[in-house]
Amino acid sequence: MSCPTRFHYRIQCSLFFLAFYISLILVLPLAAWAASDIAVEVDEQAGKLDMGEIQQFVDRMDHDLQSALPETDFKALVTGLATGQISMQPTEIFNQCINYVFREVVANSALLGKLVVLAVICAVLTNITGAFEKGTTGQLTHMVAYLVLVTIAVGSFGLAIQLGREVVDNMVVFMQALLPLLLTLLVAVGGIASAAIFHPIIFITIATFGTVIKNVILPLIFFAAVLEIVSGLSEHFQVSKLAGLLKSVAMGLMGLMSTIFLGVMALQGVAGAVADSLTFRTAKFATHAFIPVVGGVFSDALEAVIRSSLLMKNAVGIAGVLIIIMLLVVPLVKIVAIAFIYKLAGAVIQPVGEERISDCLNGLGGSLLAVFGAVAMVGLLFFFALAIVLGLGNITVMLH
Amino acid sequence: MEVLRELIQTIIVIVVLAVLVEMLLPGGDMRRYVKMVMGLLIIMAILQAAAGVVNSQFMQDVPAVTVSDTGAPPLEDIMAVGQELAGKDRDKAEQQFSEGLSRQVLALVGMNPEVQAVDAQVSLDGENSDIREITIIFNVEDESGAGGQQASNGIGGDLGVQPVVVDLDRKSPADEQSPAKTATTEQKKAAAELTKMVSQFYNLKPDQVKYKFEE
Repeated sequence: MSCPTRFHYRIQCSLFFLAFYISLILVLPLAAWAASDIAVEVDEQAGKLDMGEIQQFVDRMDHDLQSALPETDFKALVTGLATGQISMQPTEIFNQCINYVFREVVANSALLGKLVVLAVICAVLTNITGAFEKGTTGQLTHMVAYLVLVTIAVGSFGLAIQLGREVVDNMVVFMQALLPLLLTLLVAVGGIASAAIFHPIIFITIATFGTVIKNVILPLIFFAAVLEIVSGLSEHFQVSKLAGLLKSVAMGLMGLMSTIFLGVMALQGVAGAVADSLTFRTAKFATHAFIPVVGGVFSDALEAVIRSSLLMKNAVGIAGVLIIIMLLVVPLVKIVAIAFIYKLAGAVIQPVGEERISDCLNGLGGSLLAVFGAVAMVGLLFFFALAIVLGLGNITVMLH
Repeated sequence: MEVLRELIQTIIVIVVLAVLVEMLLPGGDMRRYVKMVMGLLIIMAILQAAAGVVNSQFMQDVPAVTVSDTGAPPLEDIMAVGQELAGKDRDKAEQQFSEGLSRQVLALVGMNPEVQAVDAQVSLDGENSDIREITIIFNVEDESGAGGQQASNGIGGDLGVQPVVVDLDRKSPADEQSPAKTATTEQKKAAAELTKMVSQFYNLKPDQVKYKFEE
């Protein structure tokens, strides 16, 4: 059991750093960007780009998610971010998240009530088994109560898995709409080789990663949870080791996939950026050697213009990250709230003396946290993918 | 995944059945045997599923896991739009560059008070954005030379510099180096010296810098 716990801890740590890093990204550079002439330039740049697909996606988003965004028009969001008109306060985001967690926990308190009452009934039945004429009567009623409890638990567990699948789907669709735009801007700032290298790889890895998480890892976690429940039916027929095996396979697969994903992205990114800067530098030195103009050469003038494209690209990327976070945070909070309810129910029930039910609920909570980890991992890797594409543009321009 | 799902279903059925049998049977040795038989059933179910996996063709399941359609738009489209944007950026940079250059040339030429430059047209080589040609246009309005007029206007007065017009695709003028009717020999000499200086300053060939007089 220590391995999944350590994994959850790692996930939580990495999510904390992610949230911290994003809040830094959102807050720090924006204040420096505020300038009126930049607004005009960014507006002009935004007009040239086709953001229709992303806008359609944003329009299709839930009302909950839309209200969390500072701006529902993607173009206005990008322009606002680039000019510093939209800035997010980390404390505000944090407060909203905490609010949302409490709201979800309260909304799920009915589930908690049902679980606790059923568990208490089970405990009472177990204790008064001796009062029945035949011992098996008490055992049977206990089993029926246990099955009712499990039905309720599996129902909400299935909903959480479904929610996770939807989130992964949404994120993949969003990335597929956002990345062409980012790659276009990458080409515009001179990253032709990077875009050519990235184009097939980034789309294939994102689609594959999403599909594997959705069709392999989430079902594996679900199966593991089901086996854990079945183990709770009887003390004599335990299949908890099989459940553990499935869970470890899911976690191992996820670790492997994320390592491959990050490795491929980072390697390709560096290769592309170096190739691009090489072509640009060759041209630059050729020009430098020919015309030593006082006050700079043409490449300097070009660089100044390219920087506005770069600003645009970064703004599109940050807006993308913002939407990914919105897509991710709300369902994840729901999943965490349900996991918390299970764990709480398990903790409350344990003193009543119903060890099996308590273990089962605790295990379900753990499995839900694994679902949370899997979905959060997808978000984290997509965030890294965006960060690499953004950083690639910056490196390409910096290496000029 | 389908195989695994079936296996899990089978295991659930076996375990539930085992629990029911356990309840129905009277206590005693029978329980132990039932437990063993049920355990064997579970092992059989697992082995059956494993055998099914070994015999099945893995490659059939691969398309379900990986994806053939990644939903990516063709690279050519992305490249075309990106390069169009880059082209626009380049045009803008070329315009800024040539404007800056013509301002520099005008400032350089303005240091000689004998002639009065009104414009400097910089045309760039479209491919490498090198300077293809600089044409300096001098004013010939006053007969006594630009220096006299400047003196009468006062120190630091209006040099008569017109707004800079830059035409990148401009062909070299046919009437280059053909002085206007009213240009004096001194003015022509000064203009020639200035063009030489400009060509040396920018490290250009002498025939890349031209001048002409206009009224």
